[in-house]
Amino acid sequence: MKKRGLFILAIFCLFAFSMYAQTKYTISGYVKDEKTGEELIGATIFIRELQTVGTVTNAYGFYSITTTEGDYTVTAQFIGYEPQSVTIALRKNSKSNFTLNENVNELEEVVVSAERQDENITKIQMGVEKINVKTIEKIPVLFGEKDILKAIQLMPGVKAAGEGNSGFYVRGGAADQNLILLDEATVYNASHLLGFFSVFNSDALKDVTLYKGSQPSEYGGRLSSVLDIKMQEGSNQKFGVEGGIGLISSRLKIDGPIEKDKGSFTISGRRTYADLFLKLSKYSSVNQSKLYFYDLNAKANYHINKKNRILISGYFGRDVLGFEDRIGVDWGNITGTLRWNHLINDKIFANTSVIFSNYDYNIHTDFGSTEGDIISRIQNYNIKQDFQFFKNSKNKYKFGFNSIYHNIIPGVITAETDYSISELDLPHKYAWENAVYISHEYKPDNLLGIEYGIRLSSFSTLGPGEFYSYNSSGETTYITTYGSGEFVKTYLNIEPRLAIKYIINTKSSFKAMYGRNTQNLHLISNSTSGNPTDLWIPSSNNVKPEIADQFSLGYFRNSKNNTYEFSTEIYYKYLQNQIDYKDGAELRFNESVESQLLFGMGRAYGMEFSLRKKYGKLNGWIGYTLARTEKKIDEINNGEYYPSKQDRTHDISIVGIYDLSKKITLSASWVYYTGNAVTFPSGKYEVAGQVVNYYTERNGYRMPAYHRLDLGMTLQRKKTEKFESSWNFSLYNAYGRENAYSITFQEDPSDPLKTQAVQTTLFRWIPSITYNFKF
Amino acid sequence: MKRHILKFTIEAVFIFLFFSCEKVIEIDLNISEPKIVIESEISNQPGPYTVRLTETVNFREENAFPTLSKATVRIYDDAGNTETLTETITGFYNANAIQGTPGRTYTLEVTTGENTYKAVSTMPPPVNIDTLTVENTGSFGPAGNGETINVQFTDPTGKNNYYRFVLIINGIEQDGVFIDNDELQDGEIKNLLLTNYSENTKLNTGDYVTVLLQTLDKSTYEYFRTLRQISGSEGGPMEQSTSPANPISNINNGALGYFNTCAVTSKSIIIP
Repeated sequence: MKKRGLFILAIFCLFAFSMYAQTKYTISGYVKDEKTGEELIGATIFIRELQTVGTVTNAYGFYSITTTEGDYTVTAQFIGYEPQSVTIALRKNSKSNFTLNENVNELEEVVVSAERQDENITKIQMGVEKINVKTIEKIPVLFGEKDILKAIQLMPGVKAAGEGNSGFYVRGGAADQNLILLDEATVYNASHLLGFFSVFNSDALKDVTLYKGSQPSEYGGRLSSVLDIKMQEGSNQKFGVEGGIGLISSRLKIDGPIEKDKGSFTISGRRTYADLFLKLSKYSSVNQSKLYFYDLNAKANYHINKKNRILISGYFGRDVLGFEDRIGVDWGNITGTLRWNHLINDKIFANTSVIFSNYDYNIHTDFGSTEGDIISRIQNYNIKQDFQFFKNSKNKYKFGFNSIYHNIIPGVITAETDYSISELDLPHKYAWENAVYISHEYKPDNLLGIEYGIRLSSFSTLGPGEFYSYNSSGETTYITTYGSGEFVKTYLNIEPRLAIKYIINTKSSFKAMYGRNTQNLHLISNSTSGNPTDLWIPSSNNVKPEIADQFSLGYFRNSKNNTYEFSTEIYYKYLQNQIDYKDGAELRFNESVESQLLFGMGRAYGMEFSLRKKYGKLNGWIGYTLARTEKKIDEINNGEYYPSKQDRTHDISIVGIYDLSKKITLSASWVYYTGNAVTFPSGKYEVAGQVVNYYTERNGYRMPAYHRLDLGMTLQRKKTEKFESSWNFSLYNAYGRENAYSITFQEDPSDPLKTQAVQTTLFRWIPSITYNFKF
Repeated sequence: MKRHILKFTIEAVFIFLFFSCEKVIEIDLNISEPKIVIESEISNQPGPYTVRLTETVNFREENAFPTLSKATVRIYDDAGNTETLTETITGFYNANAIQGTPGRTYTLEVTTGENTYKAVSTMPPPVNIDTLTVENTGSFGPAGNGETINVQFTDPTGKNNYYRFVLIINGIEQDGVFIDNDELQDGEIKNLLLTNYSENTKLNTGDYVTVLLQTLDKSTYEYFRTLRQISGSEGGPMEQSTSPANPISNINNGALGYFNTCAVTSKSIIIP
């Protein structure tokens, strides 16, 4: 594998070097946090004498700048840290590591983004949101549990999937169209407790980036977005303990050096105890129930020498739900990543990753005569090789490949008693996914920047198994049997990506992008909220890869010395092979679930506005999206375009954080969005002795508009070198808006001749309190 | 049954933990054109069998469904019997001559004005109920003591047997669609709990309970399966389908309703 990589590299270098003959040298190294020794991602390095020459550190804190010989002042800066400069006489290739100090005066430099000051204008990629983990601590949240996915839902162009739900929709894409990566491992179900918490414990996170527009070529596999989450490495300087105690959950983190300056580890855990409240109930059905989740993040890294570093990280999380000893349901994700960073030379950074991810659920029922288990699992093994070649100040290349083996157990039912339960083992699914990519970032001058690339992806459904073909009414027409490892169907896709920026002046820039994405794993879910038992199916002889082509244009403007950032983007997406469900589709434990699907096309377009204030006592943002998302499927609504479930015309989010004093921070967020498209009855009739709704079209109605105000306050206690602590208070849904979670139609209990619409609301005024500490 | 349990669990957690609240709201629903609803059942029991023709109404209106009079309704079977039904009460059409026989295929034809609706259904052989017992399912049963009727029957060997159960307590037919099939479990002894979570089907000592077991053909089963999806016997707010739709009818031309030719057996018990 390595040989093949080097071979590609060799060809590449040959072509690259033949074009230049000037004497150039390379400055390279790492940018780190002084206190913890952790590498900083996305720190800016620039040469003062050459205004145009600069770069940012990669995901492992590495940078490399190549330029003509001379005497230079090289500066490293990262928001929230004091900039650092060194003078370098560049006569040969040289190393320069920076260790930055955290800015002490927090009050003036409240961080909303980890980006450099004018990043909004200067970066090539558009539709990228970098979320600072520190910021989200201040945003008020449900149950006081700070949550990265809830913070993301407040970004323009990103919409919450529903009340308390950690699912999100990006630019009209469904919740399963987001690639969620935790240290490069796919997270299949990012929800705890049916979506009220995400699986990401923010104590353990270092960097969170959401790509909602142009995804760089190294990413692939989902249509709408990539949420790339990186875990902290821990301090390689000293041991530390950090934690929080809340009404619903508590968490603890320990980190420290394995060997000072060379390696570190971190372990963080979290457990909810919501079920303790259930014990207070006087009903045995409630007080004998279980309901909790826990998760564990661990990571270690070690610098073997200056050129090689090993990182190992893992996540394990589980939800447990039990009901009176009769029913037990548990589900969760496991991920593991082993990485090897290797510096081939000062200009070429290589990373090899071996990744594992797993999601499964298990249901146990015991009703005396009826006892049995249901299990289901999705798993993948992934090898990924990436190279970054920092050729010179104008050219940067990225290339690599990726090979994933998927293994899905859709559902196994086993009986422990000999009757009442039908034993069942739905056919297991196997698939092999491969991709190679190359991209080139070219900055000819200070004003223009282009990043273009291509990703070639393949997806093969593998045997063994019987593969069914269906006719239009869903009946099996023929069955083909394949042996183990045989290729059933292979799809090849070419995914070009392009992003251009043009800086108009120091205050504003213009950007454009085009990108194609494909998706070969599809989440089959037809319930209002995502369920732990929703099923992932791979592309097959019946299900084709979903394809999205996105075009987007944007205008970016900063003012008042980069204090205010304004941006507006318009986008249009054309979608192929979109999936919807037949009327009356049976999606659970159905061997021929593919016969229950309908396929067609879709389109999504919209306009996003965002205004941020990044510095000062008051900071925050306002985001507004005007959008439409539609599908067109022959069998639905007479083949006309109809709104997708996640279609929302208006979406507004406002977040404000105000530092009242050094000790008190107040925060508020307000969201408003158009209700989801839903199917309501347009009439009723009587059949089999009951009144039944009469439906005339799919998604022809709207839920009522959703809006909510949350308030929060953080109280910093005395901070010493050894110990610091804070209290966090929050009030979810401060004005008690009764937002519709669902609407059902039923007989009026007081008048059987009437039918009424009943709205269910989940949360009104949820207060919470959390105590956080660090020593 | 498993499916129900899972749904119920999720539901229960929500109700207990998250203090959800419900209120009646006003929704402006569209006006729809009246649509024909055909309900017809032929069984192996003696006739007369009835075909009922009604129409849909708008959502805001009262649950008084207009009947369709002066239609031409005809039933014929594959043994050469044919009968034009007579309208006895408005909207009700009776078949007096035709006799339901397992194994025969029946065709229903309804003509109103310019529209003709047709359905074909075959009557499967009857299956007997072995036993009726009372099972305590704890909190998973109907409100109160958790007692539920368990039906045990023996599925004949060979796939494609479809069942519908009708629960009658003290002469009152209970709401809820109870169905089963042998797609996963062929030729075995089967047990089914007739639990209806949404309605109060609480059993009391002395109650006289009758269960009817209807054997259906596949298309009629599909109708009841998809009727159950939208009729509230399945799931609650959490599990609501995002795309509810009209049940898949075995009658063509866009008519609502069903044409059920079923073989019926029954058994009764008195709750101890």
